[in-house]
Amino acid sequence: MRHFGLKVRMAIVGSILFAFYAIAILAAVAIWGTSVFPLAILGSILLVGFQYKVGKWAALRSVGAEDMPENGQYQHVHRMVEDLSRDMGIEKPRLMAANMGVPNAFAVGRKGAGVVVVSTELMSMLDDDELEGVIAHELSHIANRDVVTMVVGQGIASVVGIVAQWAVLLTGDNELADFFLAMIVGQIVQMIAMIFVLAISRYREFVADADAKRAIGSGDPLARALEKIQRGNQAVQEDRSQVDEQVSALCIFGEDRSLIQKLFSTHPPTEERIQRLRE
Amino acid sequence: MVGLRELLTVVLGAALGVLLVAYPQVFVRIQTLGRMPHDTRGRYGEDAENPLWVRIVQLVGVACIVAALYVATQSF
Repeated sequence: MRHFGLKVRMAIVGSILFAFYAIAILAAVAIWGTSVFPLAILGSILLVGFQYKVGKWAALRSVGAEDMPENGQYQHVHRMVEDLSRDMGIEKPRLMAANMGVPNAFAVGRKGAGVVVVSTELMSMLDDDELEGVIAHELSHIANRDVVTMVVGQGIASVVGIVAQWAVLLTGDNELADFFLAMIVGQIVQMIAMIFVLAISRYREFVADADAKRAIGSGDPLARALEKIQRGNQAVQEDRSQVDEQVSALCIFGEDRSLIQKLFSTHPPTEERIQRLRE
Repeated sequence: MVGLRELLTVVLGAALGVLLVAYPQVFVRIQTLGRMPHDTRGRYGEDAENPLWVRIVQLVGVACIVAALYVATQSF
């Protein structure tokens, strides 16, 4: 059975998130009456749809992504994506390039309407087989509907947080402290729900790596790509370290991966990914 | 006698404030994942949040701590 581990984890996390959502909807019904039920369901669907559309648009706009021309310097990238898409059983996604200042690539959208953005820095840094590994990983995110899953997870966490916030607000005495407590409880409840969403996000990265390894026949090219990116271009690292220093100066616990950092990260440690790719 | 809600406001408010000051990236990530581009700034395979948003979240964290202290002085 393909992705058995992922399906088991999705069933567990999906059940937990559904339980959160069901409690939130029941609480909303208890506060506002049964007439709120269809409104709450419709509102949840609209919220997820809105976040999906805006998220996709904002991701492309934020990096100034532009379509890769089919001919010319990106011709080999198009052929690569065509072959990989055929192997993975998905429609070829729209391909875009962006000057992000750092080697990066990401996928947005869903199966049939996916977009893969690759930074020009990444394309110039990696060899063709390494780039193929990275693109195969991104195509796997589209094939496995990872973007949609994250949007739905965020939508559920948001609804649960909003209901918790209003529940606290409406059961209080309308004092200033009640507004503050409502805001805090809403944020904390959303954070707790997001722990489960982020756990599945990290596991989906391993699944995407395994899919990429299967699609290109070896995990080594993607592992080498990750190593190269980790080492990074010296100039890019220097530029970025200046930004990091400014941010780190304001962070009490710095950039180390503490338990909280690990619990709330979207990606597993790169070293662990490289190790699994080479197993 | 201090009510449960006031106590919760002070304790949770201060705890959230400390979390926002210490780990602002975590909060930005939670709010942006699935909503907004959150991984388009750093290198591939890394989480990297907008430094401006990180600083704003830290300021919100400080505001939470101040608000929790204000509620504490009013209630205790």
